[in-house]
Amino acid sequence: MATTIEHPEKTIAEPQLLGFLAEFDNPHALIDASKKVRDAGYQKWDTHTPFPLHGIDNAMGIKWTILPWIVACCGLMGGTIAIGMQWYMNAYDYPFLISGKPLFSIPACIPIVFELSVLLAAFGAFFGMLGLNQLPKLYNPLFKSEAFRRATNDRFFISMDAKDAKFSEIDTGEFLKSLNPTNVEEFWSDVESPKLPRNLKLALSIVGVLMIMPPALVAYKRSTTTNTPRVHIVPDMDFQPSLKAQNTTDVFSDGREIRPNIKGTIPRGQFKDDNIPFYYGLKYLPEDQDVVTIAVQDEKKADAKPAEDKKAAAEKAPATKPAAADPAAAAAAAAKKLDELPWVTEFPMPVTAKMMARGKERYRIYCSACHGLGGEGDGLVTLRAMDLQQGTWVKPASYHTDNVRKLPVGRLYHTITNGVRKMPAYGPQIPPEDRWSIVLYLKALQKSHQIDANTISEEEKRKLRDTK
Amino acid sequence: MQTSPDTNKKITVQTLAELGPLPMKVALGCAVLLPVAFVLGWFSENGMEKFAFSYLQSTFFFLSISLGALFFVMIQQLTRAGWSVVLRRLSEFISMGVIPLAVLVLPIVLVTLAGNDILFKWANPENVADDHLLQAKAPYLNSGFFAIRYLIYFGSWIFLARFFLNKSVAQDANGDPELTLLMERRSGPALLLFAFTLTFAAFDFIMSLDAHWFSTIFGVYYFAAGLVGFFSFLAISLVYLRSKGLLQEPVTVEHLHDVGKLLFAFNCFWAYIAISQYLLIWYSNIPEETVFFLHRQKHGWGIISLILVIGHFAIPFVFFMSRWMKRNPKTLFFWAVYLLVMNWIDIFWLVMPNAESGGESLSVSFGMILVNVCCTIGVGGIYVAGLLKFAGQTSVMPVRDPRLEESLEFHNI
Repeated sequence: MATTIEHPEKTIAEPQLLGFLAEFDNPHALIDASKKVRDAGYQKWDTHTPFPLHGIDNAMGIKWTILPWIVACCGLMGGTIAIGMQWYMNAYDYPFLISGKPLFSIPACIPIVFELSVLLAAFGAFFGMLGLNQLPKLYNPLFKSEAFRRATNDRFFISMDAKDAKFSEIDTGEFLKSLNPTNVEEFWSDVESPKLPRNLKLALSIVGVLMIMPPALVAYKRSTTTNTPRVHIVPDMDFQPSLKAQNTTDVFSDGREIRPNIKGTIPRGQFKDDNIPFYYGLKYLPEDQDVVTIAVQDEKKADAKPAEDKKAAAEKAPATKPAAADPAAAAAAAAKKLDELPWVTEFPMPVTAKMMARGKERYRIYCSACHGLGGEGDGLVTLRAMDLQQGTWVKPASYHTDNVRKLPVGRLYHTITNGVRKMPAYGPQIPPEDRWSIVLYLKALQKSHQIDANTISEEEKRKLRDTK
Repeated sequence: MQTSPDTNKKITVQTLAELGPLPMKVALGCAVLLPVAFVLGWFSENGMEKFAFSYLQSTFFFLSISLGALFFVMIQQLTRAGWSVVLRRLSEFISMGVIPLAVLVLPIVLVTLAGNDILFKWANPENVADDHLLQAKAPYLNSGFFAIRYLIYFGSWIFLARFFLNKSVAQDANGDPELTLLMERRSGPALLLFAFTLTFAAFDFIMSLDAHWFSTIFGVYYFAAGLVGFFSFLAISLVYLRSKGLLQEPVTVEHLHDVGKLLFAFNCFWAYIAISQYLLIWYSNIPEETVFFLHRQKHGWGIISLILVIGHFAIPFVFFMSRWMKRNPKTLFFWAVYLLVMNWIDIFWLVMPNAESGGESLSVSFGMILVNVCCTIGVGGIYVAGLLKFAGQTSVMPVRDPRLEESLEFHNI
């Protein structure tokens, strides 16, 4: 079939003989002829049949394909890439422990190794086949032959390529005729311009430009900053319908998205009344629990009033706050209440050397910044605040005054838990065991300031000096 | 569908009887090893456990081959395969092995019915009484229902094997293409029946040895093992028969090549199923599931497990890639024997670690392997003798199958 090209004024190429086409009307004749061509020593020639012919490979002397080797190599490459990738990702670049499995373990690798081996082997087979067959081929000069159209129907052909070393115009033609074909014809190269049509060039250029645009856009966006939120092409989990703790909502009658504990329930692991001394530092819980913890007070207030009331209350807060009327008297009353509580005087857990060491470590982490390593109220934060003459700063009390020394351990524990004056509550940060450990260490610090150096032996002094 | 008129004249009818009386004598001679295995078991430590489990292993090893053959016959009919016609009769003979095996498996069922718990712990009411899980499974795992299921399984297989052989033999006589159409139509439902019976038989007879453990893929695993066994057995038989002058003309290198390809493919399928079963259990790491593989890592079973991974998959995988290997009868024969041995080890690995004495698993020992090998050869003797008996004077090829010519002309492109 001749292609129609619109530019006859372009250079007309000199037609060249590309080869011969011999036509046979049955497959047996083709196979017999193929054997003769093969034996004659031709290399560049082919047969064309409407259906696969058994034995044509042998008759043409075609060597066994190397495709299996390509497939095997691609498969092995896939397996190697899969193993390497998983080792690099899981065990080297971003070690991430999943359910206690080894970072790099063969059983976990097998599915990926299998998949990638199969994938690359399939690619190898598909593209290898195309490559070995020199496909895709958009055009072949043979297609111009009218007779050749029957190659897909009921005719069998041998084509001899002029590029073959043994090819000669006269001898090969004679040789082909000796094979008893029904017809022999020549096929020639195109005489039209070998140039591509202009429209095709234009179309390809437009496609090329369009294809560059997305990566260019991506590159631009990646290298610039913007105030607007990013474009969510795939929203993933960016927008979720889930409730957020601090928002308001119409879903619940109290207007809060966070769900407070249901009245009369205790969250798992939060039941503390089974060990009052350990959790509160008290021998038993007094009737009036307001003084025990600030947290308890807050909880009671929150439960008493719904959110709408609370909002309203917050607006006129200054007017209704009873404590604001006489802060000094209220503070004194609270302090008096605290003094009268039944504080424990013994540690509610066994005292060990390990606990002491733990207490020392925790003390140095949480307390020493303000209270100082020795508990004299000369921590680095305090020193700096004094240095800057900060008016609001209250110097922490020294542990080594009579007042503090007399406090029962339960009271010290309470102070750590709920704070006092400017000191914040450390209860939420430090678990009860550690708070008791700190109290123990604090007691030890107080004791260390009381002792007379003359009453301890030389060995103990040395030991103290060596201890850090 | 048309039958080529000259096909009938061209083909000479050959039967397995042409092999002479020797194979039958050898097979019956081998059968003597079965009582030998029993005596060996009798005199060795924990011998009854060893013998009982090795007997189960041997019968289910050969059963897997016969079931593989049955599957092959049915799938060839279902897909209207032309290339395999010359091999089909031989496969039909092999599938008839379910009949001797039904008799051989019967003692296992009878012993279980009597409440003996050497093999199946759930068969003994005492064991069930102090085991919550066994109680929960009792509605299914009880000896009465077990015996009924035995009848259903073997009844179905014998029915299917006889149906496909008889119809095919009938066609030898009358050449009626309608018979082929009938077999094609029946093979679909038959495969469904086969799939269910095989799966549950594998559950009942092998998986329930360890009644606490369960894997839904187990039936497929046994099926995959069976196909590897069958294609090995088929390749061995073909090469052997061709060397004896049977099927020499009709079965060409092209057919051997395809049997080799199928053997390779189903060996990979076996590995795929095995890793599928292992991977899920390994990943979830649930104690009641991992116990299966834990058993198979202790008492010397770890080596057998590794032999399966490397010997059953990795090594044959490399050699089976080669086209030459599959087209050369000698190499194909060697690798088929090799895979048959591996398949034997596979069933060995499935069954034997469950053998225990006093709550302790038996470890792999020379004695155990000896009993197993003797038992397998003994059962194999009876099995092969049964196959030869059923083959009798029947042609080794469906001589008037409408697709025979296609098969004779078969050529790999």
